[in-house]
Amino acid sequence: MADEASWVARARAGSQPAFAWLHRRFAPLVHAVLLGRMRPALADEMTQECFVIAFSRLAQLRDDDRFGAWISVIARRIDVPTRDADGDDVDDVVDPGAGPDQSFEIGNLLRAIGTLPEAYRETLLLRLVEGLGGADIASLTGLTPASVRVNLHRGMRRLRAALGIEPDSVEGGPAA
Amino acid sequence: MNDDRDPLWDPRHERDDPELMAMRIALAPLSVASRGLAPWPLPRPIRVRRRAALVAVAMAACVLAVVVAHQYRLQWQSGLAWPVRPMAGAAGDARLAPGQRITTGHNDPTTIDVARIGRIDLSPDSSMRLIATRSRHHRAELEYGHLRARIWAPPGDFGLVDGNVEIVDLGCDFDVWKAVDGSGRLFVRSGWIAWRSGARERLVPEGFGLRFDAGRSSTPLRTDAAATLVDAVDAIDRVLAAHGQRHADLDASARAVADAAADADAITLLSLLTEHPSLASGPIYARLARAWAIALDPSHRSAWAAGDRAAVDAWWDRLPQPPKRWWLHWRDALP
Repeated sequence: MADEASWVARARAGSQPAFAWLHRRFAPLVHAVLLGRMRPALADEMTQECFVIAFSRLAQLRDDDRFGAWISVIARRIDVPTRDADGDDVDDVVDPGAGPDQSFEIGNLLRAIGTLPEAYRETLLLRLVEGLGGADIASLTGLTPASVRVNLHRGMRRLRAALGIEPDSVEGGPAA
Repeated sequence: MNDDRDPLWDPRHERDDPELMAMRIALAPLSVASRGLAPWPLPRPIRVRRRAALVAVAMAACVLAVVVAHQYRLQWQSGLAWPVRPMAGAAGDARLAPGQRITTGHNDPTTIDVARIGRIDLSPDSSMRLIATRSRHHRAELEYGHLRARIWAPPGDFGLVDGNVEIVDLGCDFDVWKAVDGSGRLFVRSGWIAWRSGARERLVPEGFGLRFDAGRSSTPLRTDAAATLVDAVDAIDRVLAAHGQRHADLDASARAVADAAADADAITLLSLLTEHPSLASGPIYARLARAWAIALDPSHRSAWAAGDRAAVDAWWDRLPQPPKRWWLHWRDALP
């Protein structure tokens, strides 16, 4: 996307509005990638860290149109201590006024999503956590709309199965 | 499912899928917006400020280090001998103490550290004696032969002494040749030197040199000055030495100098006018004014001819690199 490339170029030149724009646009993507790999509180923290890393290495980005895909790779490569990977700190991130049922439900969903293949997991988290539509997910991730649709539907089918909502009848793997 | 109505694809139709809607509601508290991860918390400006602060601290530390190192360079215990770098084939660390001399053989050049402010390269068949050394005052004598001095220090810290004559370093790189009879010449590679004899002083800049003999020196000349100018300056120097500033031959000599001088010889003209102010009433003053594109000012000219130092200094101050700016010649301190 030319717009994305121009913001990247401006950020590389040190523009503060460009940094803010890139963060605002791609924070949901980075957060979803991290949320699929680690507990929520840590994902929050590492999202910011991921942008710090990306902005400090912006000169290494070869294709300015691919910032989303590039920062996703950075997020996937962030080391996660084994003890920090579990999604058991839901109570720390939900509204203090929420009941135990809500915390349990969130934890249950995250654990189920965590069992999915990476492509399904990240696409579903963008859809279910961030509330993004398929077109926006395709734009953010650089995947084709068709791939996003496949990942959403196959991922959701597997998620329902994992949650015992309906049997897993999915055939085939994720789209890339 | 039709794209337009697919609740999984288009959030506007989530209500068509209650289970999807329930998951969305359950997980929404984890979103970036809910978690307050946006907007960007501006770490970049913080980093920039931090970097700016670090740069400022680093620069301050560098300035302090430079100041301390500079002060250390200038300090020298009174009477402490200068290190002499071993000649080829020689062993041990030699030193040159005040009162001692070092003499080189036919094929044995050597290098002497001038305290911490520079060094002297002493050529073969040369002899040098250290006269005095302490902080801010280092004096040696070239007895004969050739030396090259490379000094980076404030004016006057280093000098070569020869009887009543001093060749004072003003922060520069220069060569001196001297015969056993006391005659010789010097050439300035960079910066300035002052040749002093009693109250007389000649300033010699980079690219110029002069000859000296028995307490007298020639007017500074460029090494590539025209032969006609060299002859003309030699002639006027002889006339002035023999008869002073009031002699019948002086006008013709001054005319010859003015006619032979190029704009690049301005220092030669300025030196003559400074040493002999009465010449300002003649053609040398006009030639210098033309070299520097200065409009002739009769009152300034008459003041100069009358020996007014302010009038003389006014034109010295026009020099692009006056002698005071010794620190510009930092390259002289390099090995």
